[in-house]
Amino acid sequence: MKKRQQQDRTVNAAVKNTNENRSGVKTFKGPGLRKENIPNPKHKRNKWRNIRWAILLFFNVLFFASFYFDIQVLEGSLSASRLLGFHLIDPFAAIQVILSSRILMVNLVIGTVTVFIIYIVLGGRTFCSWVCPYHWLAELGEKINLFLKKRKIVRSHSFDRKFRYLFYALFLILALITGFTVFETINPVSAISRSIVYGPSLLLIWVVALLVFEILYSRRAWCRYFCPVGVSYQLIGLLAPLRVKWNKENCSNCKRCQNVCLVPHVLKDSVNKGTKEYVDSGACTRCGLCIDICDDEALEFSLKYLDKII
Amino acid sequence: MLRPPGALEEDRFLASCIKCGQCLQVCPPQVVELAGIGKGFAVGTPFITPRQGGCILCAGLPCVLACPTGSLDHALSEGKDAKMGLAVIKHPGSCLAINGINDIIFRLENRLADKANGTGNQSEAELLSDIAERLNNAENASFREKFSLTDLEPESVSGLAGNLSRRDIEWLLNFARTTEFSSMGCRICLDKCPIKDQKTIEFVKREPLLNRRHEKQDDDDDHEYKQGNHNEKRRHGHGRGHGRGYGRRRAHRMSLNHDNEYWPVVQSSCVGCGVCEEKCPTPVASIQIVPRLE
Repeated sequence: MKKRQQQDRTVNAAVKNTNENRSGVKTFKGPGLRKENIPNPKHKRNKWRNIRWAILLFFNVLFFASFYFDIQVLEGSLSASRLLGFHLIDPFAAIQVILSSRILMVNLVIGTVTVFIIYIVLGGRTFCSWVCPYHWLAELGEKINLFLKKRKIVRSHSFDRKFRYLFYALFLILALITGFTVFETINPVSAISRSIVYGPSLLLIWVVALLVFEILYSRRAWCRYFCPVGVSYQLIGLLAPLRVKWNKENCSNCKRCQNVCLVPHVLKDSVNKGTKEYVDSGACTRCGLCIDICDDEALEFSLKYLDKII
Repeated sequence: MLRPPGALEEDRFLASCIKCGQCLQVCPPQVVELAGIGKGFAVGTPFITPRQGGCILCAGLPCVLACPTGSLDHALSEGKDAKMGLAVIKHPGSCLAINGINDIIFRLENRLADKANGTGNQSEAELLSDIAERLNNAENASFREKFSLTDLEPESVSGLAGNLSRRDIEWLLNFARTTEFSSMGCRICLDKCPIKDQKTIEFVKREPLLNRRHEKQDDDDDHEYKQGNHNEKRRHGHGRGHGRGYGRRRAHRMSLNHDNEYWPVVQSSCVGCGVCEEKCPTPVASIQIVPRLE
């Protein structure tokens, strides 16, 4: 309940800001065709977030239970696992291993291709918001960060988003040169996953340090600017048809979607410029927060290319 | 670090291990652990601590099959071909075989001392089943009579564990001293070795250790087969002295029959799985696994 209130406040603040900027005029500049916000009374505000958190919890508990209760459904951790015997391997870890060891194992290739196919169907960075346990912690961290920012306790800083690609290349080069999977040593995603499955390790200190950095210095810094695991899913996601669709007729240009979005730039071409019907697919994590917040019903999950056929 | 069977050489292992822990998940005796943050690049990689539990080289090698990256080489199909490490007699001074001491009697005495002090929790189940295994027919009967057992199946014997009073152990000790096996020196490293079709340890008759005291020898006992001068070793101590001294004191007192003193000589068929280190009854394992050098 409290969370909900807090979110409401954030939303109201967003609307108020826009209003103030327009000095009392209730129409906003933008490509959306609605003049004002007309909330759909049936709109459920936290629908997708609740589904997503349930699935995120489900997979991580499944990892835990597969070992702890020996139910053997999803064995391993997020860097590599077997789902009912089928190998699944994190693409970035797989590329590092291939570069550092120069061995091409059949299982490694099978696992990576399987993950590749799964996330082409499900939408690339869907992994981040629907499976990654660090993402969930970062979402909570983001709430704390926004709270502190509103109280003017912290100020926000941002980096260039291109850091991600730099990091990606850097760790691949390091793997090739050093012969160690350097990133896997500090990978917070697999560190958390291993801690969930095999019991906590001291590497969690690093994870906590990252979270503190995000809360006090830069909102969602790891996921936004650094995480190379996300970059590999982002590259897969470029091909994915599952996307967020923007409906011009329903949009009242309130920009609340960009306010809640982890990667607001993906919405730019649609809600700011109106040049694209679908939100950019690469960096978008398909988290559904924009859909949840949009009570104009201007945003929805959709299958690009396929929705025209069906 | 002792790696699971089939592990590539350390550098290549670190390069290829994806740190997923699947080898740990499928390990039937649950002896594989993941390295902590102190191990640098090796954080999250699997290893075995043989003293806590050695690899039993299970049929089919599930850990090797589970490995998605080939860090545990899939070319390995049988446990006996693994090259994990190598067992060496690290502390010959405390080794029961070298001192001609029977391991059952040694363990019962220790158990009794622990019971008196209220310390220690050695596995009584394992001790009892080891005793039951070695009894001949006549001894078998009196053992069953004492504990009113109908058979000596592992379940019924291990059922006694935990219920033994101090008197029971005293009885067992006296009983063990009368048995046929009591004159036999310790062979537990060989008995428990998971490789059965080849002899991994030969017990070689040598000149008794105690008669060699006057000989001047290298006192570095951290090498295989190098037996130190007893007095000198005691002076140097190495800090880990408690356990070793304990074993050696007992050795002096009990080593009456020099004909029992055999040197365990590790053969090249040893894969270094660590079961001998786990099962070695001396307080600090006399036989230990060292890295295998090509």
